[in-house]
Amino acid sequence: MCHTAHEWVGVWRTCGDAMVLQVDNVDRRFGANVACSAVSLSVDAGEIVALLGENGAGKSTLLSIIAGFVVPERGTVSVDGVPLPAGDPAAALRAGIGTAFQHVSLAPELTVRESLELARIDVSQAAPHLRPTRSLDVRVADLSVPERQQVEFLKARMLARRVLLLDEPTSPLGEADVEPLLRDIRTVAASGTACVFVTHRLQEAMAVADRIVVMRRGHMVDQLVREDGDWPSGTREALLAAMFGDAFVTDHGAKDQAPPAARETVGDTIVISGNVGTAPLDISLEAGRVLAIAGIAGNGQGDIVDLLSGATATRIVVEHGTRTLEDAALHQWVERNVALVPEDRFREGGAVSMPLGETLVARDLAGGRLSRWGLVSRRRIRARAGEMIRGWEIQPADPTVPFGSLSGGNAQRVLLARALDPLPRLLVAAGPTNGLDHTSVEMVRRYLRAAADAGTAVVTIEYELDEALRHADLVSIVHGRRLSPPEAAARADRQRLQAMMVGGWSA
Amino acid sequence: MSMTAIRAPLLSLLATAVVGTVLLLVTGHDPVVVGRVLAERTLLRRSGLEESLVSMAPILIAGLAAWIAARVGLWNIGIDGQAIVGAVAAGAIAPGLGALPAPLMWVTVSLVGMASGALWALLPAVLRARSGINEIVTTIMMTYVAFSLASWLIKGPLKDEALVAPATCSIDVSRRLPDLGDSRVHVGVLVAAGIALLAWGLARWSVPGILSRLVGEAPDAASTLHVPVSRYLIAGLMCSGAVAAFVGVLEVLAVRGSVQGDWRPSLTLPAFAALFLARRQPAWLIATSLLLGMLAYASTVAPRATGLAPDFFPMLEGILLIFLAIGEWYRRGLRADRARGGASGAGI
Amino acid sequence: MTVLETLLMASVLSAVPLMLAAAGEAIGQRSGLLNLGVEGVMLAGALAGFVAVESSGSFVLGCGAGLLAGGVIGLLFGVAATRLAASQIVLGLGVALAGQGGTGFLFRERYGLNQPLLSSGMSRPFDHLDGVPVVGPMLFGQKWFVYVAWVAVLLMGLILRTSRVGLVLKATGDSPFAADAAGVSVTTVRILAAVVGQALAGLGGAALAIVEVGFFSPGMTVGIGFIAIAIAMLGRQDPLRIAALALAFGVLRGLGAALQLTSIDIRSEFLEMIPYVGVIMLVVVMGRRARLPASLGLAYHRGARGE
Repeated sequence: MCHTAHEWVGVWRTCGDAMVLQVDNVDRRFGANVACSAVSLSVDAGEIVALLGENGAGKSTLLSIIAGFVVPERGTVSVDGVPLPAGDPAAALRAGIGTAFQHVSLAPELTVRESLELARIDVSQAAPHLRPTRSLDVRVADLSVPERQQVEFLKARMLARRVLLLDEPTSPLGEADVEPLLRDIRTVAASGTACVFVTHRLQEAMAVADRIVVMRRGHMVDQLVREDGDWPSGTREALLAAMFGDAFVTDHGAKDQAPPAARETVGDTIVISGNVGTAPLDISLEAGRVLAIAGIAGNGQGDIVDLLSGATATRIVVEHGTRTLEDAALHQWVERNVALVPEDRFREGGAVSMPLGETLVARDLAGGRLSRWGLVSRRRIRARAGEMIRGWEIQPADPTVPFGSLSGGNAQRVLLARALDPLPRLLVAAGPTNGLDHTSVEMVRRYLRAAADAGTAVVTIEYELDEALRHADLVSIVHGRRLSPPEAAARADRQRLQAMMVGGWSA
Repeated sequence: MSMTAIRAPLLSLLATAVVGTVLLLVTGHDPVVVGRVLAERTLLRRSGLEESLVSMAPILIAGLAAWIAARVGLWNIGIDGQAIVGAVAAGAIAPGLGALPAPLMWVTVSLVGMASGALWALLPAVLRARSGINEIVTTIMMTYVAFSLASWLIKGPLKDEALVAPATCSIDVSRRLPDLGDSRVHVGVLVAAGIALLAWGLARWSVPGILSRLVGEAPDAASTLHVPVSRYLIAGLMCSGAVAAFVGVLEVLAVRGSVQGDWRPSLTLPAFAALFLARRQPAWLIATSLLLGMLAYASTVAPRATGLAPDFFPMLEGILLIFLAIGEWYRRGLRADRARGGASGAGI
Repeated sequence: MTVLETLLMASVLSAVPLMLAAAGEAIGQRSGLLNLGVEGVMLAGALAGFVAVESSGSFVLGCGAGLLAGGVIGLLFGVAATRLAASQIVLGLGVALAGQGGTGFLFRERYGLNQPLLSSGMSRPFDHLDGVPVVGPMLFGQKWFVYVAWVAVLLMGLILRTSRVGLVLKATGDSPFAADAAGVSVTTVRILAAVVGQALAGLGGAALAIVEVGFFSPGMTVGIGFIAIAIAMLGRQDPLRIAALALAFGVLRGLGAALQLTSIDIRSEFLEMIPYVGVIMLVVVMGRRARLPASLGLAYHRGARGE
């Protein structure tokens, strides 16, 4: 795994003998969205290349192209010098490419053993690598999210005779499981396999890669190489600059704004009670504050959201404890005062083919505003939709386009516009910045903070602790459907919270 | 409907016509002769046009019933069963309402008939809304139960003793829905067209109409917005059943004055054909059900006029459905994917 | 034969067309295909089988014709549903309607208004053993096709449960993406499933015409095709469960006929209702547990949202 000659021929290329994977000048767009533009990459045997970039940079698309799931408009992918037919996952498998997808490629009803057999993997050879030693005959659907990711990784490494592709393999893992996975990657590389590892986490990229390639908005913008086993000084800053461009100057890790001033006068408190799974749970929320519930995916966030949004709540106490709501009164109060920004923008946010205008006014219509005797004029819909489009800077500013054609950031604007106008007493936002590019993330955070400042109780479900600590007033950890007591984010002990996210806490 | 939107249905019609022509040739019929004779009988002759309009009404109404259910994402394959339930209910009470003035009797009979249809859809609706049980299977089973039940009722308690062939007591011609002018087209055709326009209007201007689309296409999004999905599903299927039952009501009030023991509507499949040909727009349903009404009438005159077996036309309708399935959804599938691929934002 | 013996024997026989069609539909459903047109496929198989036997006198040829008719329709359905991403529900309804109309039309074209009957019936190889009380006629008095059908379905059940074929089918229906990522061609699997499955449905239809009743009449399936779909769903796409459900249904149908022979005075229309009411009750009781393959009725688009 030595680099002898490097030449800049528009792309860093290594000496030909050891080269296993070559991606040559690949282009791919989706509608107006440029996912990959003139992307070239080559990887040697035994080399670990990290593809770094923020959400929307094009990394996953590139991986999908190599694995044969997306057809590039131009360019080729070759393994050991032999070009692969485009859009043919079976050919990629035959060429020795093993892929661990971000959205796990395992059938829920099959057992672990069957999943391996399906891919024609010799189970007896694979079994020793499975950690922890869970029974092979458990259904995939019954595994936890991190366990599923491990099976996905196992499948990929067994299939990766020449190339191993990993798409955000550490996202669903707790901190304790990350290091073993990185070690496994090094083991696989040591046997001569070329590894490509997509991530948006700088730390991990620098921990395991031999070479880091940065992508931004579909282009490869920079590449840094480890020299004699160490990264040259200034690598971190160079990578950040490449990932975000000149606009982003401060260190990603530091808090980029002063924490919100502690408020003396507390607004109304809302206490929601119900059952999460089988255990009873009470959540207390303060008007004007942002509570971040941080946790690793798969710890019951969906149930918590159902409780918070009122769907499974059995009792709600409002107005400083003076008013208790149950049953029908509870549902009425929830309809009028609770708004939810769901996690899956396009499945839970609206119908793909429904026009933007109708999607925007849907909450108003459902709440009986805008209409008289159940009827509403098209003009009023257009007016209201126009108002929302302008106020929230939604692109394209055309109420007739189908909702599904919007970008992730604009779709999130739609969801926020709908949820915040009129301002609810309680706003629940699940994973509000998932999959968004940097600008959109900042936009979302701004709006959430503005809502809190205007008196709304804001609750967000977060998957990254650092983001949670930076933007919230209070932080709670969720683990195994249990919620820890909220603590002030400004004073929180990051290490302790990380440990709680991974391993829970004693009652 | 724009020019591009009209392309898929037109192409499907063309393809069906081609296949039909080939089949005629293969079985030794002269397609030109057949085509001419049928066009003449159904369109060019006044009596033929009238009969086509009369045949159109049940298909239009059934198509509307299919549309209502499809709007909330449900497939009502039990339209025939609901129609016959409506007919039996109408045939049961109409003769007994002699004291009422005719218009009042019509309204009463219609309401009772449609309520019966709605009730017939209640079980499948609740099973689907509460337990997620596929409504395709349950509505079909309810149809077969309805056929047997109707058979028993008409041959038994409701039988008109004065007749040999089993039928309910018929209402006098003077009490039936009037015809338009001196034609044989009954007012029911206008009523059906009126319902279609009402449906179009509600879809466009009413809150439940607009939100029902959300329920049908993205139920998770609907519940996020606190739209009561369960209630929409039940209401949708029951309304669908009510409208389907109106076909049966018309059979009693306009077509025959009573229900025959062997009356077996087979409108479900033509209803879907009309609906998809109209690209799921209720206003266009009027045109497409007229076309299918002509085909239905053609199947009754065909044997005598051309020696062609009546089953030829249902076969053409089936082939039309197949071409529609291939044509439109192919295009829509591609469009949606292009949109989703660019907008997923999920870890690109 | 006693009433009970007749009932049992008729049940085992009348279950055959339903069982074959349901098993065939189940194979398709396992891979994610929902074919509502089974009714039309059965009629096509029935007509093909009938014409083959009527003109050649060979029952084997009749069965082959049924298989062929179903297989061809299955091929068209499979290709349309995968390559052309057509809406499976609309496609199925079209096949049902085209099948009904088409077979009626072709039957009349060939036979006019006549209703020909098959002159000879199928042979019964174990006839000599049917003296056994109660179960004798049911087990030994059947025509040879009945034994073949039952054995075939039971074998199919075992194969699907234990072999790679069953695994691949199950994976394709559960998560076409997972199958694709494992190197399985979703399109090929689904098309093959459609061909084999609908060939079976066609065979079921042929069985109805040439084994059970001995004639063809337009629309003779009277809803059996749709019941087959229900049973395929209720039996969770497992041929063994399906065979049991089909038998139960056959018993319910036979019950009606048997009761008419007794002195109990129930109108025949009520008896006709029993099987359908039975299915509804079964659906209500078992429906919630009927796990349908996650991708049932949905076309697979590689590379769309979530890779």
